[in-house]
Amino acid sequence: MIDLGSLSDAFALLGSSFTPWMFVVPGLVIGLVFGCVPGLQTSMAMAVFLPATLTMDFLSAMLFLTAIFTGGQFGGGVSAILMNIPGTSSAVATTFDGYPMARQGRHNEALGVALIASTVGTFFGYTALLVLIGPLSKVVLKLGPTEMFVVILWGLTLIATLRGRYLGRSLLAGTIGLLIGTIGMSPNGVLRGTLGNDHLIDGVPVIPAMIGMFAASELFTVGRGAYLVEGDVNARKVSLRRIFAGVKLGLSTPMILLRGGLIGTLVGAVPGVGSSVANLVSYSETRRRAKNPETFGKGDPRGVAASESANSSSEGGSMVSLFALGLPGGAGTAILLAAFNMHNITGGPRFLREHSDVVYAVILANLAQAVLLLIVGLILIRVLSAIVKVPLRYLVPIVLSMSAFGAYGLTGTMAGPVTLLVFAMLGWALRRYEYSIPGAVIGLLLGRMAEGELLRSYQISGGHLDYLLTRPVTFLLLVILLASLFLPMILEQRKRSRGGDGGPPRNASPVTSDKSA
Amino acid sequence: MQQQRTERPDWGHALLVLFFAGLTAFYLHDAWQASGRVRNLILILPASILSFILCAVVMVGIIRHRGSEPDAAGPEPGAPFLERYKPAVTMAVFGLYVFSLPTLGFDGGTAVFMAAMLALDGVRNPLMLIGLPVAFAGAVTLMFEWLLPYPMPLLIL
Repeated sequence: MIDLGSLSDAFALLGSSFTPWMFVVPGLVIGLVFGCVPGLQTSMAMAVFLPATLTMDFLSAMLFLTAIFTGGQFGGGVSAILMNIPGTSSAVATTFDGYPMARQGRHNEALGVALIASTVGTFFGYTALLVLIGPLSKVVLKLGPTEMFVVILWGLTLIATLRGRYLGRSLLAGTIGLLIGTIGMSPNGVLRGTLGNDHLIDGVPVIPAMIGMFAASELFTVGRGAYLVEGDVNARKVSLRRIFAGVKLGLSTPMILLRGGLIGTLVGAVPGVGSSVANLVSYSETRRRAKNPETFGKGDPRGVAASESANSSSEGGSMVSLFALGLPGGAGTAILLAAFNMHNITGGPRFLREHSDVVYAVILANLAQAVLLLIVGLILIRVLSAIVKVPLRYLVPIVLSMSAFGAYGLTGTMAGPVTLLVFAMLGWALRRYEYSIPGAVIGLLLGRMAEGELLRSYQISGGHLDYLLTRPVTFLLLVILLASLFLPMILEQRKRSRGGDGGPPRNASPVTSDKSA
Repeated sequence: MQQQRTERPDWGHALLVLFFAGLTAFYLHDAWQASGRVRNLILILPASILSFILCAVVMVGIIRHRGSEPDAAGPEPGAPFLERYKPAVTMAVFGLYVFSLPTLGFDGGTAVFMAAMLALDGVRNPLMLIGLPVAFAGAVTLMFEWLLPYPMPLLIL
């Protein structure tokens, strides 16, 4: 599967000059900072620094931009943990357990888990890319709308999984989110629910809405305490020892990291779906397989590990379509494609065949980047996590106004800040009556995607369900989805009927029971 | 949090559910008016039906006195007005901030918003009350102005 000749050339290419390596650490730092600041996106950082790559050779440019990509994926997790703001849609699932951990004073551990999960995820994704770029590109070409719809459906099942205390309220929040997600121009060219507002033609701006529901709504109520992390000074300490403990904690969940890596790589390779769904599917699967799923959503480090490993490995997955097909799978890879064009390079099978040494060199450099992320991350986390030491009376207005700046930055119009405000108020109401905010956000995030793929499936099949029989991959994915939904329940039922204890130990540590998760 | 049964339905919650039902009805009507074809309603119709059913189920729960007590976000009796209604006050100030941005700009609006929030929180030190908002608003505005490819509404910078 690996072309050893090209691999050897790639090593030679990377070892011949130190120049490309000089851009890796600055790239990681830029990505981390952009990922951390609410409203600034990794793709925005890549776009801002794209012109700077004009003077670089192709390999240096790719290393610099992919370093921003890698740093940004982790940076999104930092703001998700410390501020409940998923900087990108790929860090949504990180907020579910990362923020509760931070509020319990376990921010150091949460960041450590996120860092190691991101490192392992990036490493896994690029290793898979190195070994499987050929076969994966063939699989990606065979994926149609029905397969993509099943993958999205998988993400949507998380609405029921994250139900909290009330299943009905959680499903209602998810359904309302799903409906809001479809507002605007339909994939079929019909305009709906815009109230004549031109800003809604492309739909509700999802990321400002997400920031509003997750973060701003939380800040309306959190302002009652003195600090984000309650308790004495020790609780708010930024401790390298505890960050290392988090790294160790993450490493004690190898199956979760590997599963997240696998899901991230596979889902990330699907153009248009990518990391937005990968983190949700990984989180959902980890929670479903856990012996004590009730600890999820309340500060379970396994949730952070599952989400971060998947969103980081999806970067490697997304490179499949870029290198092998010349197609961008998301905003980040679209910027990389622009870098291809700037250097007069066209991605696709021919590029893969004729420049496999460069492709391998980029992959190998990214494997090294994963290790560098661990070092850079450890150094910067100490600075970034100082946010927990800022009194809430200062933090709340700072984060709220940064969110408004970010929302404007994402849309380029006042529609962003207004969306932020509307969804912050909606989020507050949902919080007050114990509706699932993650459920609403997942619906909002996946509604448009789901409708597009469902419509294309309907158009291709002509509305005949037997079409599914001609799509073995769809069929297989459906079987896996149904099995992952119902098999744990059936096994649990069987265990109970055989007289086993059935239930999870009430006070089990989330980590001690991890290996079976 | 231990679930407590209320003596009477939680009308605030009922209002929220009615809002969801109304939103669903409006959107379904609007989508149907735009095009009643399967292609347009393929997801909206089933999702709307599910939404109506769920609204009905939750509403029945509320009417049967199953509404939960307002959580920690609810006002604490006996506390000063600002403390009791802090979420509402914060929301109102944030709303004013957002809607003032086209007039005051991001630089002016942010400085005023921060100063107002700090004043509401009892900060009286002039350096923190005026210096911090002005410095923060200036620095962040300049950073975003540099990064964004489009103009921002500004008052001074």
